[in-house]
Amino acid sequence: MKDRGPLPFQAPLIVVIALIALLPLAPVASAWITSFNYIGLFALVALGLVLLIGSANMLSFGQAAFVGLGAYTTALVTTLAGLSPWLGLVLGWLVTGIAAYLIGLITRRLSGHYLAIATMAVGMAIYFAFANLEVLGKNDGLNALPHLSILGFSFERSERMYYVIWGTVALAALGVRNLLSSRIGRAMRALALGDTMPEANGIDTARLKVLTFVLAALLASTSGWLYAHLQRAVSPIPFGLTHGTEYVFMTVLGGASSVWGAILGAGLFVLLDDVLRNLLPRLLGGDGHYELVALGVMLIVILQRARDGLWPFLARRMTEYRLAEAPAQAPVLPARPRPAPGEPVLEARGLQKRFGGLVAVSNVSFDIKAGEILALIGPNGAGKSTTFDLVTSVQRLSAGEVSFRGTKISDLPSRAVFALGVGRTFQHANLLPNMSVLENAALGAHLRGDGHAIGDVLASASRLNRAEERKLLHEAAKQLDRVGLGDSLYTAAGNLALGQQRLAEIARALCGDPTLLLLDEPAAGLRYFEKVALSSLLHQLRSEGMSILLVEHDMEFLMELADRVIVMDFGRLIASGTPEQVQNDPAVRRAYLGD
Amino acid sequence: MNPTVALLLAQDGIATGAIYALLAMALVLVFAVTRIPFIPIGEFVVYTALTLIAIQANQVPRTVWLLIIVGCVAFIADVAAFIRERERAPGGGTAPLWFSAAQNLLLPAAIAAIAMLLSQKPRIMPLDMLMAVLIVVPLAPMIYRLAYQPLVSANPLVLFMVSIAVHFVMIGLGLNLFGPDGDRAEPYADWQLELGGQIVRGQVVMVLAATAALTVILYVFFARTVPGKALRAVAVNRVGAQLVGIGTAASGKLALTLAALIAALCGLLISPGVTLNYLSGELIGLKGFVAAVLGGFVSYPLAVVGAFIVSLLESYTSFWASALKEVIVFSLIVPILLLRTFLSRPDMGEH
Amino acid sequence: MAPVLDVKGLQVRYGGVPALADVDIVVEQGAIVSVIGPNGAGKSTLLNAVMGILPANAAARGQIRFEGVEFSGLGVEKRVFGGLSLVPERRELFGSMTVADNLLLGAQRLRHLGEANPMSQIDMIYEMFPRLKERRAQFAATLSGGERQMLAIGRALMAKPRLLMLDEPSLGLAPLVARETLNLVSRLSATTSILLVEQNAKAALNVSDAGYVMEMGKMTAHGPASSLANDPRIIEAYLGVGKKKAKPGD
Repeated sequence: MKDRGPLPFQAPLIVVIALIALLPLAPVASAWITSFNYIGLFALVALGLVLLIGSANMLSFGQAAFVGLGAYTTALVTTLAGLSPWLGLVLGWLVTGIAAYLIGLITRRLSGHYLAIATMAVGMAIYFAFANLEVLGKNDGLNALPHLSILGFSFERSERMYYVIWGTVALAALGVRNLLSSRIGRAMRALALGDTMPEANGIDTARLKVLTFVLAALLASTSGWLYAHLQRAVSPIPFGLTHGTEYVFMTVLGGASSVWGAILGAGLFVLLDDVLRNLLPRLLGGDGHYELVALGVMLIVILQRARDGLWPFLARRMTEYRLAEAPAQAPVLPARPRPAPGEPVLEARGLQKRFGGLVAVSNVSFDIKAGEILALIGPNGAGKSTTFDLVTSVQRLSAGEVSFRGTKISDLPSRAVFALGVGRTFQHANLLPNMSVLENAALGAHLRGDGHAIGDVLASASRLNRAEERKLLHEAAKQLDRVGLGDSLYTAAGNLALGQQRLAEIARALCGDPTLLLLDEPAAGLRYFEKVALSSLLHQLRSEGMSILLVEHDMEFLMELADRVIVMDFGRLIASGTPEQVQNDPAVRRAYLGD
Repeated sequence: MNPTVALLLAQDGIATGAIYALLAMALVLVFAVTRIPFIPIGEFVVYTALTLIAIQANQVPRTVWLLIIVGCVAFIADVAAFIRERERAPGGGTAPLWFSAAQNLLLPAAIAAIAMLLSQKPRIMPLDMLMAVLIVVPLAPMIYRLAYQPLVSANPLVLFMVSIAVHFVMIGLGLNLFGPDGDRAEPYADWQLELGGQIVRGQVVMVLAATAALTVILYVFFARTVPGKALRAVAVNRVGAQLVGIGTAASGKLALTLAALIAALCGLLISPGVTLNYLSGELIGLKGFVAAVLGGFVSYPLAVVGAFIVSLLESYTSFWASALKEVIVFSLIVPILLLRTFLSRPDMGEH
Repeated sequence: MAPVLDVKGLQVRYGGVPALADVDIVVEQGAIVSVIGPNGAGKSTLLNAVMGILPANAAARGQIRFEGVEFSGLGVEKRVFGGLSLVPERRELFGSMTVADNLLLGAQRLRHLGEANPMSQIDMIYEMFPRLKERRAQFAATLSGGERQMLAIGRALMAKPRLLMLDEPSLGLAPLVARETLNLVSRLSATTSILLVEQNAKAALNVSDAGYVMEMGKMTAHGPASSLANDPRIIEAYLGVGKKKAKPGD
């Protein structure tokens, strides 16, 4: 990696961090310290929401309840049982983690709304439990918590808690940022595009959603633990739905797609809330939750006008430090043994797919051998893309069977089909527009990670996964170079032309080291010389023993590429043969040109 | 628990269940047409009830001023949008502006005038109820215009966030409009009847009758009338609806207005039975949500079943474990979601 | 008389990616005009841009003049009320509603215009498609592919459009049904102008007055349908037969 100076921050950020670090040493009013302590506590929760809202497209209004679980657990452990706050932290994680795990488990296969509603309802249940359980002190809560201390050093004064809180924020921010630019984090970000594409790249989306939700909850729980020992008392009020919503508000305000957005949002929120609480009642008179009204209106305006929050406006002025960078050298990933040339790779028998009364694919059978390029052509709506989806288990067969190298794959989920060595691209390029081309391609290597003794998440957050990342990113860069995108590694994928997006998808598929590659219209939108380059790449892949099934409309492109062509019309196979035979087949001419 | 108590609790549960069922149906309606999880529905219940209480106290309810102010803001938004469109594509009449002025300025002004006039007159209960509905329901299309209309093509989770923002704006304003104290309206059904040895309160009978009537009216609206069919068409196929000229904004406004109307009727029905304050809407609305989840926000019958499960559980737990009533009712989301997962087919192949 | 549709310099981008580049097309009153070209050329994008139903990430620029009125920037329903109808490639029927209700909702334009009898068209539609009359109480989702196409066209005609745009009307239909559909198109031109997008090039040109050939987001040829039908360039564009050498950078 290139030398970029000692710290991965830009100058303005270093100034901000230094100011935060030095604040307690300056002669400021203690109210400042208190405000900054709250900013830190809120930022921890918002960092969790960066994982949820900003990355995985999940939404939770229940983070306040998780903060409460962390706070009440440590309160119980330290006051009733008289045990150490550090035990309270661990038990708080345990309680919160289990609660979040269960919520995640029951919503993981449902659409995003259900998680949001579940967090509201369960959040309510938890809140009312705090307010009504005798052992938790009902509405009065629990008092006289001990202060934190380590090896006799006490953190009783709030200036000292300041360092504990902001130290935790710094660790959490770095951890989240590292995580998001790792193998696991890329998969989390891919969830924003729905389940189909990540599953087709071997990612277990259901499991990953639960994991993401639990991580966010653990950050909230940590914030609750710090809060409890800062206040030395807990009561139900700060853990209700209102506060759960405020966490969402500050994250969206700052910018949910960046850890810095979370911290900025928490800071702005504390500032705003303070101003609004003091100013509005004086201006407008009477009693009213004016701050609630103002925050609600602001949230609506931000969502309408600047959905990415305020951070991107600031970040535009800074050059982004790149965490994910492809090394020039790295150990090569282990590759799958290739089948012997001519060995049958894929057998599709009697594929059928019905949608209601329509038959989209009817009794389609074909084989592909090792080192063969088979083209699937036909007019629009003939069922070609559906056939692709059936082979890769993205859609379920109504009848028929697909086997890959002797294993029946038609009942497997698409991630298992991918894991066996069937890679694919989509007709409509399915890339994360804000992620770099390199990281998009690296998604395809998701299953080729190392596995870490301390767990993937911890290894990623602490960057102990660097060896793994080097290998994966090197592989991604290598495949991108092969498809001709070697110069665009760090471009945001959304800025590529349509044809190049398809090439990036091919690189992503190649990162999975497939034995069989399915390409849906790879040449569409390419210029002439790009087509020539793609054609020679596919030739080369074939010579390495890869089998390729492709849907394509550019007959000129296919002519010199395909070994065999099969033709579909109305969901059926109507012809097969060499490209020349098919081109001159009267049935094919009729299907394309009509008579 | 003896059988008499059990039956009494069941009676309570069924009456509340009817209310939750109406709210759940309204939520399904709004979600199907607009993809909006209409969390502020509970506030419409409470706003109507508290407005009625103010009217019954011979006051001009402060919701009148809210209606006028929100109407002005909505009109300004319409004017701004009109000017922007005019710059892009000159030509065309000013009809949309007149329509907006009628809806957002004239109608609120007229309602306010009538409310002031009536506050001086002796009270007539049905008229007071009608007035409360007239003041609160027109807020719904204005809220659609201001909060949701600019976001028609947004990610569903953005609509969720906007909904919860609207919910808190309405709660915050509610404190200012109605004050912190709770109150009850005057009873509209002060009688009771005996049914097989069981005493049934008049209010329970009225709630059930109103629910049944409203369900029939809704059914006829959706099955027989062109506007009802147009709303269904939007729910079934949004692009198709656009192609025949059913406007997204118009149908969104209509859906929210219908939901607000249903919620307002719920507010009238429950107002004498329970003490409500500006915060009460949250719990009522969320319970409607828990019920609607059972039907996956698409099935009206399952939403109704969910509503009665919620209300009966609530009724019996208030007897056995009253302190933990809300804990148990909201925890019901867990089995309901499990059931939902079981009812919905796996998401394979859905794009 | 002004043309029904006059599009000039229409550009469409998805994200930053161009899909249509400077497209011009004119449909004269009462004419049938077809746009032909290979898959992915941008034909559907053209119709969707004229109708105003491009996806949220698309941006359109250029002139879309409909009977002298500028349409670009107008909402879909205003274009429908102005007299434009589209039968989209995916039909977009109301699946869980009856055939009769689908047709009923097709007349929203006439209700908006305040016509005394907005359902006046329905008998004509049932006469044109007796199958739809037989199935009028059935849900649209239970219809066969050909019947769905009839219903989609019928629903569009209920609005008495000034211009009917058909996106791949023969898509997924058996050859005989496809041919019938195109014959129907030529009969319809008595009541409305038609803009037809078809892959089935020869069949489309057979029923058209004028044709446009589209490739890679650009109009590459246009002229009277009869002369285009025999143009060898079209066969090249579709099947690559004849070995046209594509030039670098085109």
